[in-house]
Amino acid sequence: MGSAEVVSQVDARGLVCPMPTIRLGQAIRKVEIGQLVEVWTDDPGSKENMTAWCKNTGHELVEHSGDDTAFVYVVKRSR
Amino acid sequence: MKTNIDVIPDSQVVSDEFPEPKRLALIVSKGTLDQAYPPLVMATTAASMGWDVAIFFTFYGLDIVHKDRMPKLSVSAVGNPAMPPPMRKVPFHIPTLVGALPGMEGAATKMMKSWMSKANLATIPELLDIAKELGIRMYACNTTLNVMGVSNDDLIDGVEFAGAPAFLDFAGESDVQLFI
Repeated sequence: MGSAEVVSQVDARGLVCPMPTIRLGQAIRKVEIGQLVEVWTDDPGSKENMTAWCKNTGHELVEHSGDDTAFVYVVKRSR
Repeated sequence: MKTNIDVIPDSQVVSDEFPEPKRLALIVSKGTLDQAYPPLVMATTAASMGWDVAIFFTFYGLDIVHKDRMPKLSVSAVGNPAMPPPMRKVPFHIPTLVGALPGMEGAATKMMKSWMSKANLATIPELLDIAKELGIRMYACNTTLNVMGVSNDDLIDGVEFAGAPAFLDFAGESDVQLFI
């Protein structure tokens, strides 16, 4: 990832679809291209949702981690 | 006319050649609380993914963008065989005949709102605000406005007027069209 760093964090824990991706969309518009946004969520469908969101928006899902109940996604603004 | 956009670029390799935004066209004809959610969730999600979205409200769907009726959207207890009991542990649904008793609609609505609140679901006004913020186009079907006794001033800000030709024009160029 080189010099890219997380400049914005979205705490979407407790929020259900569609709010985590809506909040991600709001956050990504506020950062510069190349910068990273980190999303915290406990939405069990979030992996599919985040992947689909990134595919459609053209932003890059650079990292994801988590267990069965809590997930962290790092998305790079790409355009 | 279209060049280099036949293949959706891998999200790893995004360039100026990213394709035209997809389009979602929705017709919303229902005015109950539970039926207000699917279109607004789909529309706001699509818009957050960069899609171009238009919603056409018609018949009872107009209540969702009606200043006075929108806060009072209810769940119908009548003719709703899926109506669950007030306590989730009770293993049967409420008989549809019971749903016709006075006060049942209010009770059912209150119950649903409490479940939605516990599930942390966004409210309808919140979703409408997000819709406006994301530039979703909202149209009231001007033909059914008169049928439903709704005047232009009754509608929330940001709703425009259009009819079937305008919807078809947008839907014809859309990737996804849903009638709800």
